Amino acid sequence: MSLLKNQFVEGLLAIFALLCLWEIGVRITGVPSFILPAPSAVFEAAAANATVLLNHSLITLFGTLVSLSAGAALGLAIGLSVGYSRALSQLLYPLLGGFHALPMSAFIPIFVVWFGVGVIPKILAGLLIALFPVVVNVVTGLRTIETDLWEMLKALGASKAQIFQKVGIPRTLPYFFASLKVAAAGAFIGNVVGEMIAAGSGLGYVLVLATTGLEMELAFASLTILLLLGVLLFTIFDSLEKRLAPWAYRRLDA
Amino acid sequence: MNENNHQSLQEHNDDENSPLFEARDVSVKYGTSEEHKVEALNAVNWKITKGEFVSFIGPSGCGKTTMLKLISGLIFPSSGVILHKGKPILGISSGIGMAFQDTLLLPWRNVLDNVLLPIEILRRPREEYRQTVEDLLSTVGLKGFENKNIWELSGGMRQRVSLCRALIASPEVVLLDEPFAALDAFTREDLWLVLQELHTRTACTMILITHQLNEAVFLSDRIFVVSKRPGRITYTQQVNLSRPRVLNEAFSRTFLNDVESLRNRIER
Repeated sequence: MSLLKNQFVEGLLAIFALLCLWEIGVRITGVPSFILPAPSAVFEAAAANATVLLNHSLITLFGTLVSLSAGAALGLAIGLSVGYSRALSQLLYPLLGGFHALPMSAFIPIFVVWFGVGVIPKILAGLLIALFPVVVNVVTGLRTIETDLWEMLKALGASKAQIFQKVGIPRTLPYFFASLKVAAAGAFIGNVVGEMIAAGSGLGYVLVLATTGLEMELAFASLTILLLLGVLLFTIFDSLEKRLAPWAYRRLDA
Repeated sequence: MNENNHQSLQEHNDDENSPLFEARDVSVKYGTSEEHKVEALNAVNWKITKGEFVSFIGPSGCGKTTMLKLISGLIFPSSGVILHKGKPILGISSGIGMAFQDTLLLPWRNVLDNVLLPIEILRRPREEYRQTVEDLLSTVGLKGFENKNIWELSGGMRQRVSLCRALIASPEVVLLDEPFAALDAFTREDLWLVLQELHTRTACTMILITHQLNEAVFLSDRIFVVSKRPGRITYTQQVNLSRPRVLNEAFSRTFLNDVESLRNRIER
């Protein structure tokens, strides 16, 4: 634990040192602030626009969580069906794989035509990106039931549905929770890109607005907050994963 | 265990006068195309009586596991027939207990819930098995471990739990596929005693696959020696040591003679 804290402090120190170098570099070379603003200027801009940035951050965060919840629920449903039914798996799984290879942002203009500019296109984009990792992980969890265990339960008289209920679904849970942190990042990307292309709010929107006005301090401030939000999401779902299926991480020697 | 129940079943079977399981000229070929077929078993014959403890031993890949899959109805003979109480096995059997080298316990369940898994599968009320679980766990030396998590148990303890799970539903037969292969020598010997005790108490028919000659001799009433692929039964050894057997006996002259005669029959 103390080692972990030390690492955390060391990490912060490293970031601080980097920022100092950046600050000094900008001041010595005299790069204009509309190209690369100094960290102090970024901080000032962030402080001056604190309320605006907070509001838009909350919008981005909210959209991300909506995309993630819907994507996870849909992904779980698809994953369970595909993992359960061989026929469905042969039909849907390759299709899903091909679908995932498409850049989901490419759907945003189409969503705009369908639903207009606003929150729906970005939430849908986030949902689409969040969906696939959940499906793949859930299918993997179901498909990797040990053959011996399967045969043991069969020879006992178990039905396929019983095996899925007693073994398949519980053993898939850690796979599902692990997929959430990947899905959270996907939902976040979908939302920010959606905001940049077709929304009147959110950090992505602020970022684009700031760059078009050459307010690089504000753009960098938005970018920094995005980075922090990304770290926050990852940390939350990473710790959630270990808490929701502790048995998957416990070993005698751990 | 419900002693009376086992007793009456045994008598019933004696009346029927047919073995619990019987293989008649069983051959098994794997593979789809005719040229690439692998013959796993070739014209195998054996009979297993109710309550017996038999072992199959032989070199790796000789089709011993295939034998167990035939009994559980997971695969069918390419020719010949497997009989259960005189009737051919036509589908996946039910009510069979199994234990493997990998215990395959469910880590999200504690010891008690792992042992009771078969009861849930068979949709029987859990409460009725409270006494049976307690008896089984104390027989294998895990009394008081009901609420322990699987990751808190050693390999030997996990195998004990897995044996209880195999026996909880009073199965007609327990199939043991090298259950002790991954354990150290001392733990393995402890588990021989545990398994012998379970066999005596439950009077359950047990079929063991093993590579260990002394394990087969210590535990079995009869031992079938299987040849290299395609597997045939080349020799059947009757073990006449009285029960219960104790570990010291494993070094007695008669015991070692049995092991030696088996050893000479194994093809390598």
